[in-house]
Amino acid sequence: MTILRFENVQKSLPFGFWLRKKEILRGVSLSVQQGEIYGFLGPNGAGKTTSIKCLLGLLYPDAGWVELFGERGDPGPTLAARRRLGYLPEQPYFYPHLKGRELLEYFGRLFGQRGAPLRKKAAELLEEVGLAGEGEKLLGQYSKGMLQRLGVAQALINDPDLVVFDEPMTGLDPIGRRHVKELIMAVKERGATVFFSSHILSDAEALCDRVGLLVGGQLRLEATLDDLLGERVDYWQAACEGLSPDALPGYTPRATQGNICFYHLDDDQAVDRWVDAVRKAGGSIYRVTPQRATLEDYFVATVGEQRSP
Amino acid sequence: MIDAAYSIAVNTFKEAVRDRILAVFFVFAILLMASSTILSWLTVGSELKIVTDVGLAAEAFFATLIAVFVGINLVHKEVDKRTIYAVLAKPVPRWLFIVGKYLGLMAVLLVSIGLMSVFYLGLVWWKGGVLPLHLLGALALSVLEVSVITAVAIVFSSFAPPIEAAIFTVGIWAIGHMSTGFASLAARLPNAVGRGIGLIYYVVPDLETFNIRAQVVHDMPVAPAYYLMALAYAAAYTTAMLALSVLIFRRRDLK
Repeated sequence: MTILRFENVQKSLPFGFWLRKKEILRGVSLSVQQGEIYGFLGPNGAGKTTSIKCLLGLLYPDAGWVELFGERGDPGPTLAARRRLGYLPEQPYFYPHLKGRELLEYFGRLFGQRGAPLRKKAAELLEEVGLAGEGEKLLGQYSKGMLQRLGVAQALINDPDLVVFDEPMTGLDPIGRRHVKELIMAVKERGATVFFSSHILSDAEALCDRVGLLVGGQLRLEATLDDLLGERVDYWQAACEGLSPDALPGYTPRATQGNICFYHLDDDQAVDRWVDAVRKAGGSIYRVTPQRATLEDYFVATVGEQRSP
Repeated sequence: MIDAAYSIAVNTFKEAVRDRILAVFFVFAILLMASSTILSWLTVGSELKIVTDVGLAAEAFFATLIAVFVGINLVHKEVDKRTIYAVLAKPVPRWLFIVGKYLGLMAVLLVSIGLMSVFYLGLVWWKGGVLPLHLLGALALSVLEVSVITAVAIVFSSFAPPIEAAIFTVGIWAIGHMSTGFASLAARLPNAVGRGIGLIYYVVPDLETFNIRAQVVHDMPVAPAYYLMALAYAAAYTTAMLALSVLIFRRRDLK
């Protein structure tokens, strides 16, 4: 079931002193299915945040439309759709004059929650994101990582069916990134659909069921990670020990380390031939590992192709 | 809907009262009122008039200052600091956001005027031993004046950065206190120019409506119907300004 759909969304925004219009989105079309984690990828300036703002009704498309939970608002999402939506803004700036608990309760009240159930919900969420003891601190005293985690908590205050994370891992240290990654997985386990934008590809590769790649305001591809990267082996990395670098005729090592020589082999037949040659020369096999293409390889190839004249 | 508007108002109130600038304004207002007792020593037989006049003027001035300084930032700060993104992604229509912000600032102004009034009325009581009833009327009218100024500030805040919004709002406030002058000037000028200046009289709020300081100081009566007329005028002007803010903000792209 399609939860979110962009259809030929176009958007230009004014920039500079003369407010000249610059085309940011050039007909973006995509769809997100229920229960999946959709990675909305692209380099900086590709239009990811602009697309998300069109989704939320913070920006209004010049042409095309966004459909959320099967409904098209006029022009932003309907109030009913927003009741089922959670959103973590890019670099969440929340009110520094509020305490963590107060922020969650404030946002909860915007969904019509109140009283003891709201207080209980806020306390549970603070605990879930690892801020149980920090709820009474002013947000001005929170670190970036804490704000991000609080941002995740506020995005879940209404038990949303779709959660939109805009660059959730940007600027976080490795521990913070891991924590946010675990929180995103936990959101999926709750049964929610996740739409998240990122340019950190290792995170996307670890989390996503499907990705869309936005380059220059256009969606270049939309595919599952399996379809994109599959089980295809790019090349094999093989290493043997006990032989000199020139002991194998027809094979030139890529690197050596002590008496270990490293080779790149094209396919499994080449691996068979190499193994025979090592044994014949009296060496022993140290390691043979398949090397698969990463999302980053794909990203660099696609984005590089777009950027080259 | 009411819950959401109330929550936005409460958040606006908390933001303003936890800001040091409000306390600074408040302290200055108290100091200015207190200084009126020193001024009153210079005038034999008119001490009470001086305290009443300076106190009322100080209260109206600082209430307007709070309305302008907080009002011009009301929407712009939320957009600039991007705090508005998480709010409008929730089931909050844009008009409700504007109304909530307005109500929050009005609550701040009511509390500020209330606290200043307690000090001011205490001062008048100490000096004169009586509390003229129409003094309360004058304070009520200053609440109406700031309700109009706040609505004007929110119109500018919904599309202009704070410095421009401050210039526009203070400009409207200044012209608003001279608008009857514009009406008589329009009557004396040739048709086209006169009509243009006459338009200012009708568009800009007539803020002198809310100023009965002279009557209060000189103990002149003010008819109850006058208060009702001022209330109706403030309500109509405020509603029109809020509607204009909503109209501007409704289709605005939040970059």
